[in-house]
Amino acid sequence: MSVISGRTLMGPAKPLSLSTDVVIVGSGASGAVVAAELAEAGQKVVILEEGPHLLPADLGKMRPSETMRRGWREAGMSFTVPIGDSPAINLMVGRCVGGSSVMTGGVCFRTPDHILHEWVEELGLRSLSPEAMAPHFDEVERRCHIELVPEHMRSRSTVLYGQGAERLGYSLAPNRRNTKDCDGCSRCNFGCPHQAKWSVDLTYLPRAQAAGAEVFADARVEEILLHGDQAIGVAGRLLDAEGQPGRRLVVHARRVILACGGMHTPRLLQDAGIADRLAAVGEGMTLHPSMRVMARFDEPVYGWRGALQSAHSEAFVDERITLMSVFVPTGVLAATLPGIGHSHKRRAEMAPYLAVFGGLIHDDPGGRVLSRRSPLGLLMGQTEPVVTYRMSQRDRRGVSRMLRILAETFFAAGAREVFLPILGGPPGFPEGGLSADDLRRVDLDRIPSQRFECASQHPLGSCRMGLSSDDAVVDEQGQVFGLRELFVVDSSILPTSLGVNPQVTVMAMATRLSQQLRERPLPPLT
Amino acid sequence: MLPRMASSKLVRTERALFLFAETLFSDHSGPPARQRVESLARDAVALLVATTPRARLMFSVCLFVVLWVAPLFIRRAPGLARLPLPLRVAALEKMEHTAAGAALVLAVKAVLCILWYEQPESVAGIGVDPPCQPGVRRSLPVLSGGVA
Ligand SMILES: Cc1cc2nc3c(=O)[nH]c(=O)nc-3n(C[C@H](O)[C@H](O)[C@H](O)COP(=O)(O)OP(=O)(O)OC[C@H]3O[C@@H](n4cnc5c(N)ncnc54)[C@H](O)[C@@H]3O)c2cc1C
Ligand code: SF4
Repeated sequence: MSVISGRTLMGPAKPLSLSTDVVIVGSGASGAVVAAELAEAGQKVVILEEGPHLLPADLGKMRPSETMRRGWREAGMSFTVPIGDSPAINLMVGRCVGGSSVMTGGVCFRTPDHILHEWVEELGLRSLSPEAMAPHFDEVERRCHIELVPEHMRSRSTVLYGQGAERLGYSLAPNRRNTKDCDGCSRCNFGCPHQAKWSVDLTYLPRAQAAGAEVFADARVEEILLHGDQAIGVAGRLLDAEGQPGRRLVVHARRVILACGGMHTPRLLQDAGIADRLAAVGEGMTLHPSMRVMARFDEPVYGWRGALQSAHSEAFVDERITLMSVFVPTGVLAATLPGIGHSHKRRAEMAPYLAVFGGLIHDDPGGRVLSRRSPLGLLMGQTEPVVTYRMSQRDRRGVSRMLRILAETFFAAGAREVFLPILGGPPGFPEGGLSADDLRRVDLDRIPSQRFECASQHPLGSCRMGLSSDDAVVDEQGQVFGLRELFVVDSSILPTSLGVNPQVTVMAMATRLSQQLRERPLPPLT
Repeated sequence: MLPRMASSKLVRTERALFLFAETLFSDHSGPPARQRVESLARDAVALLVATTPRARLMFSVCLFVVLWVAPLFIRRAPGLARLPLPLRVAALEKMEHTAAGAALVLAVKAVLCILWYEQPESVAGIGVDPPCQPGVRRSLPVLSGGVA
């Protein structure tokens, strides 16, 4: 796929001006789907992506930290601002052609039926019923080659955890992933160098391009152009190799589609003054706060060998917890074990003996994307949005419960000690490691949440879909309430959190919306 | 969008990172080879340059607070640079064992460890496989080595 880089168009002083039927802002999981569907329906499509285009061969040559530098937003150093008794959550999102889709672990879940029922019955979103969504899931699964991870691809870390789970009376189920010929090298979060993960830069975007869509990388949108109550285009800047803004870019379009993800779509709407009329813009974000527990075994585990995320358990879904196999890069593993100098080396040498398992909380909507005009936005939110997060009490209890389940399962599998993600170690255990007896003595509920290490790769629901502009931002067609020809199709429109990894939900919703958009007549160019 | 860091700040940050890294990755036989720590500190600065001003600011605050305050945890005057290596190790270790200090130490340690353990020499030293390369597909070793 050939992508036009903003870097190559920098020269002239006068703005780069384009006209098109549809401009899509963001080339990630949702934007790519809509681009392919609309381009194949004969519409002229321009896709603008702020990040660079990273080819699989380039990804393979880069060290993980280089991928973070080039393909992750803020080089992976974004955090939520905690409100009340909440952790500061490390927010990770992709910033490259293909968006976060390029950085996923490949895990694929359909939206659980109970969530779709909740959307229909409690929120009145009838078009999202399991029956209505089924063909869209089928379509995404076919396009992205979603397959079951065979048991032999499980890492030893996952196998051990599974044995512990069986002993405690629950079990792991194999994950489904969008892969083909995956060899389990475990690099997924830094982009697959082998083209084995079917992210949208390898699937939907080439399709869009074959149908005539133009993809621009290094092109950041800063403004939605409005004419009265109608969106008529976008404007922004082309970025140079170091991300510095250069030549102005203006795209006039008959329809504007935002697909910037949960952190950045609200930002564009806020900047356009739309948040002043729609109170829900930026509000009610969910994050699926996720944590992991490490466990030391007597035998070597070599936990990095195997598919990064091969199995999960839904045994605790009623408690709003989903357990998921993970492994973390050696550097992260070594950093989170306490120790400096010789004690650090001794701990790092444990890496081959460590197993890791994680989980996420199906959380309440405690996140908020602040406008750049808010006091905190003025202080810290000029280049990137500030996200605050207040964890609900039930989610906080869920965190304690999840960590205890993970740790007890590892002990049931024969672990010698476990390391919980608590900064400075659990009270009374500054060295971090806990035996099974120690674990029983630790009251996790009493630990201040700021001391938990917590991450999120799933910022969702900050411009949620609903029936009324009182509590939602877009209607069932994805159109922003009160504005013509302005649509949102990305993860920000999810009405609630899911409790499972979201890419298939995001893509299936984008498929559904694009099918409606295909049929909707385009207005003349203004 | 990403204002570059002033070069004087870069130099100061690189020096501070060198000091922390030399302490963190030392062992009983002393600090690691100087060139390796220097290149690590340069690499860390490159990572910071690629992020946003606010992330850089937060990181720099953590780094400089740690370097200034850590000696207090072993009842020494502020300023880690003044201490000999064994006391630097003791100071950072003590600070890391406290609830308040741990977050600051981890912020710096995480960046340095991510970069350090990308070096084939470092991962080999702790028994971890080197990263895979494109075109050199490893056959899956998962079930070899005694998985039941
Ligand atoms: C490390 C990581 C691992 C993940 N693993 C999984 C997994 O295993 N399974 C799963 O289901 N989900 C996973 N996810 C989540 C999944 O990738 C996302 O939910 C999904 O990609 C969201 O799609 P999106 O289109 O809303 O946003 P994204 O895919 O993030 O795309 C948004 C794009 O918009 C661009 N953009 C933003 N603002 C602008 C602007 N102003 N101008 C131009 N471009 C802009 C961004 O640079 C980005 O490329 C993971 C995410 C990450 C980061
Ligand atoms: S584990 Fe599979 S999908 Fe992930 S990077 Fe390796 S080959 Fe690609």
